[in-house]
Amino acid sequence: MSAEEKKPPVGDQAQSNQINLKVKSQEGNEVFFRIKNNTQLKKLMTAYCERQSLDAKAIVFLFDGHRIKAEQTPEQLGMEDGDEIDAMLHQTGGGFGEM
Amino acid sequence: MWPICQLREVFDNFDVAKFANGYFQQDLNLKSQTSIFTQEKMHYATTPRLIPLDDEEKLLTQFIFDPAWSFNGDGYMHLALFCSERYFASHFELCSLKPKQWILDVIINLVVVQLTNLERSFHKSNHHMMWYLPVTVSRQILGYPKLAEDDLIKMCHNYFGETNFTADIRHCSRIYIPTNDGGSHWFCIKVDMKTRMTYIFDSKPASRSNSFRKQLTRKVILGLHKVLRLQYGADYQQDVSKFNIANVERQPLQDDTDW
Repeated sequence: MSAEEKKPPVGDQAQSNQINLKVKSQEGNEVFFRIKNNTQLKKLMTAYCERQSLDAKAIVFLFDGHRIKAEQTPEQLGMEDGDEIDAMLHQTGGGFGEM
Repeated sequence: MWPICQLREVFDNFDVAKFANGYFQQDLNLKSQTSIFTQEKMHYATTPRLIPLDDEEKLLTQFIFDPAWSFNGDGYMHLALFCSERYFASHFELCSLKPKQWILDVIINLVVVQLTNLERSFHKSNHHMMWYLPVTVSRQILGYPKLAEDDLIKMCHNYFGETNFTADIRHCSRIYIPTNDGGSHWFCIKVDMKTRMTYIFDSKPASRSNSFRKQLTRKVILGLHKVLRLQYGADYQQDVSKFNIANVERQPLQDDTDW
């Protein structure tokens, strides 16, 4: 068996450990990521912020309405293939005078 | 509630008692700024009850607000200091509670969790009557004005029901919905199911902004109506979108400053 022929099963095994996740912004833009089940989501968050030129401090990632911690993994959160993460920029406010 | 173990690692030899007296007044001021008001207790608004901080709260307050604990770079900026099962706030985010800072949505959501837990503690049967919704609800309603079926289902799944922030609609008396205006001002919508009225708590009302905030409120309530209809079906008898909207009179007001 050639080396090329041996690759698919290895690839399949690796793929079974990976899931596709969709990160959706408040504006409705979607960015897709493929990540290992046991990889910390910090990697996805950092990649998203870099791709969108966003400050990581200014954004919150939510899954099922829960805020995601950087050290959590898809496995810990029970994420499944195709699941959606909401990326929301911080909202801030105080008071302002009449314009 | 307080993941103080993390702080203890940072301040291994920190002497809490040493700071207790020196920061007592400052702590009280901070506590009073974060007091929660309800319409029924509006007369407390000008004289909020001050609750002394315990040692752990003092330590945390010290860590967040004292400029003496300034950090090189942002080593601790991402440290999650205040956690609930659903939300947490980092050192950086809690700093938005400093005087003359605008408050971040993260902080308001933590208060929402705290109030929901408190309200639930009064109603062991999970039929709590006052509902507090996170900022995300009004934000998503205003962000997606058409609210497609998928959006509504997602909102029900994420924020409504006993595993989230609400309970049995038949026992609901009020719904509080913190809302942001233009990324620069917070106000709170209160839906009163008994009087069939919607009230706006606004610490900085002004004739021109009142009108706009009423429009925002109407949109939020219309979205809420759709979500409640989907979530509760036949149990949802009142149409909140038909409630009249009014500003709360005699509410606590901000100083006339630019923050």
